[in-house]
Amino acid sequence: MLSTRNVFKKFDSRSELRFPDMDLKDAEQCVLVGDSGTGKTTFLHLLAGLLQLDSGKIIINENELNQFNQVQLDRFRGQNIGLIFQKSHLISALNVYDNVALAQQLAGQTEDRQLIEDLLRELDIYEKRFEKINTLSQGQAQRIAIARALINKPKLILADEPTASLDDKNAKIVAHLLIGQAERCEANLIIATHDQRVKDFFDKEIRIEKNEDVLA
Amino acid sequence: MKTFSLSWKYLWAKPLSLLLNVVLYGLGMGIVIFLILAQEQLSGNITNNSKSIDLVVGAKGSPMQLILSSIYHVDYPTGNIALKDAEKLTINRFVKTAVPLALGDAYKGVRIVGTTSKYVEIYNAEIETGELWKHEMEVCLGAFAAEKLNLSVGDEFVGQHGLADGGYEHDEHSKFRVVGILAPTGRVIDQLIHANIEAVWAVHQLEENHEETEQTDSVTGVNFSQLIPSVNLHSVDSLREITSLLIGYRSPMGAMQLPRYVNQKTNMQAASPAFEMARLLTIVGVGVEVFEVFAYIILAVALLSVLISIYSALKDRKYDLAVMRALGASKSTLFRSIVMEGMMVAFIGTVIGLCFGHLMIELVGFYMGSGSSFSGAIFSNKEVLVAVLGLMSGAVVAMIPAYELYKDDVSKTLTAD
Repeated sequence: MLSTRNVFKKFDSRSELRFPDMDLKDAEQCVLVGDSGTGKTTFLHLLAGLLQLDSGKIIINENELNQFNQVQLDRFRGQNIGLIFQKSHLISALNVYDNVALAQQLAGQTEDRQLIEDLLRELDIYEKRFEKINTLSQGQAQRIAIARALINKPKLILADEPTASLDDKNAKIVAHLLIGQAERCEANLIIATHDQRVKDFFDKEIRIEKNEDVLA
Repeated sequence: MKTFSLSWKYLWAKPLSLLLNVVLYGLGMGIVIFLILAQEQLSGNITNNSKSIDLVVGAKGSPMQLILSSIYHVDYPTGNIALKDAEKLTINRFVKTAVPLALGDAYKGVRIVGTTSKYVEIYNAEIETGELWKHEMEVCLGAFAAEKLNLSVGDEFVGQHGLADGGYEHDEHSKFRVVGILAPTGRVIDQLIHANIEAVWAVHQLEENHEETEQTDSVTGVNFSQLIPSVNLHSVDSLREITSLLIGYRSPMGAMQLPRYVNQKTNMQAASPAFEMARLLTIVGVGVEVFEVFAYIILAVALLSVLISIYSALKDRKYDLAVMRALGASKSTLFRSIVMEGMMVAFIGTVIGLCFGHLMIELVGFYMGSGSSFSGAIFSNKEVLVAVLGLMSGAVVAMIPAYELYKDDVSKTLTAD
């Protein structure tokens, strides 16, 4: 369950962003749309606790993010929020398996080999588990990024333009995977995108309008 | 996957950079370790060999030369002193022990020391095979000398004049016979051939007589060599000389009185091993310090190299670190991971340095022969300190770029692309 109220972020003395209130029930999914520069990514980063709110409230599963200190926020994010970026941004020093295992470690959990291998099988990349990142296609890399985001069974999955650099076929596969995995985890899924191929999969759409105020 | 494993995988991802850093670090650390071991083993050797010898009395000249030639057997003697003068000194009230040395001959570069059995007592040496020399022309070999010369009990040899290898051979009638071999002590006695002091006089006396006979022979054409009587040593006591006298004091007062007495009231010279060796170590120490500075410069360069490589690696990994933060890593977790990388480089470099330092000292020992006191198997307490400091420097150096993490804005980095 997720709800936001009067979320406001001020970057410097020149610009500030206000975001619409949002309420998602358990396991509800939505797409976040808006023109470039409206703050979709900023909103996702605020929801993930990567940015501090200047005012307003974000409540995830009855936890108000503002109430956490930095260490608590990092732990909460690791255990409850799965993040997927436009580019897969996997760690090239590690192989496929280790990239996923790293997410478990950083969330303070014990490495669960069985769980990781099952997930990689589900995402059809099990055979690649010991391969280096630079040997993978974009579609495969994005699937590993999804595995990394899902391995800790998060309650909220945030994806920022996850299909922007993919072809139609891979974009469809990734969208299906995200939706399917979110359902399996009973997690809320929010995808920020202006990709029509993805928008079509969602019933609920939250639009962010350009509301940046120039103060000086 | 633990922080340790993550740090190692990041290092392993750039093997050439890792190799350069650890080799550079290992080289600096190796030189530091080598200098520590060399200095300790050298000063240990110096102290060990001059233990129980408070004063050396010999001919006037350089006191250090006197010490080096009479205790360490690495330099030429300053000259000889009259036996009667030396004998007078032995009855001085400050003298507890006095061991005479007569140097001047060698065999294949190994010095022959004319002395008494008290010389063996100074070094607590024990017989391993055979017995100590008793009669004229009997010799007892130090362990290393026996090994080097490949001599065993019962073998005979003719000494050579002079202390270096290549001197002319003495008369074939003056053959030495090996009667004993000493057990190894790790001290200078291992490297010497020990004989009666009378034997050294006899060899030279025989030679002088022989030369006189040869001269007669050449003049008259008659061979007198069979007629040469055995040397009567006691008939020429007043002319006899020794090289030096190793003295042990009866009481600490001896240190105050005896050297001054010898230097001022006799035509001999007294030199204190402790004082001269301290002086020598100070002189050698200047050279060691230069090497030390050099080693620390290499270490500093290695640390700088570690710093630069971690800095540049962090620039490349800025997004990785931001992603890890997004995955729930705290700043302190990432800080630890980066510091661990610096410590790993320092640890591997330190291990390489320890091996390198010990290998170098072992090679020096090997090059100098088994009689050398340098050994790579000896460890020093200072090494532990240096290794700990080395590890800490690796950590401190890595902390500098790791600190930059605290300034990073994760959100900005993630949206920078």
